[in-house]
Amino acid sequence: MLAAPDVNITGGKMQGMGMVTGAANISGTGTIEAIDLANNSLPAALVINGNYSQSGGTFDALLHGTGIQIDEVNVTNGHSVNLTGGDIEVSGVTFTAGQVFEDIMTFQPASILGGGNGTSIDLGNGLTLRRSTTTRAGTSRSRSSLQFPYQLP
Amino acid sequence: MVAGTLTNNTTLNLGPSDHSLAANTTVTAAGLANTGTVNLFGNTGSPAIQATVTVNGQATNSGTVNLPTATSLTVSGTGNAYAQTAGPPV
Repeated sequence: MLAAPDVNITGGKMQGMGMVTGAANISGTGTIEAIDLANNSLPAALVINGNYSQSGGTFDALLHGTGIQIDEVNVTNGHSVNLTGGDIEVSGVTFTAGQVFEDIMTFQPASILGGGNGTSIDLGNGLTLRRSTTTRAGTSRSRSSLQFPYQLP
Repeated sequence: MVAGTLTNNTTLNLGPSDHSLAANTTVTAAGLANTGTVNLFGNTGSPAIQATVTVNGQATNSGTVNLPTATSLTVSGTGNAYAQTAGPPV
């Protein structure tokens, strides 16, 4: 666990799984990635218990095929996600038209700020990063997520 | 306890690398400046035994800080931050 009032990643890479408590700020040439470093075929959740902002740097995501995504950055309820810059770099698959992948980030509904119209972010070349809200059966918890890439209709 | 800033430019290990740490262990410092590698090794048994670094000030990392299970790095104090400016993972 890493805990600090502010966790500022301006260079290098914050990578792995577990809990970061505090405001996570990605900028400059900093990189964040949820991944099991010991075995990247196993699920990995990098939990941010604080506000998440990205004004630069890179959000790395290793995709594991369509329909399931086992590596996620999870921003806990009560915290915002503010995307004003930076890159998303995905790896692990060869893209074809029409594919839909699952969540690479989850966060509390309506907590996303910046980086688009509140519902989606136009990535160009016919791709969007879409905010979706789901309520899981059997629970009252709902969440939003960033799914990438999402083929425009 | 480290009265001043804990500065590391080589390799600093807290706990045995075979994860056999026998008791909760905390190193407290007024600051952290890492350009090398900091490895924390806790004991993941049940109950887990924690290896902890507490920084009551600014923490900067341009090297590597490895925080596996049963370890933590805590930066305390208003206005203080963990700042990673280069290097590979936390």
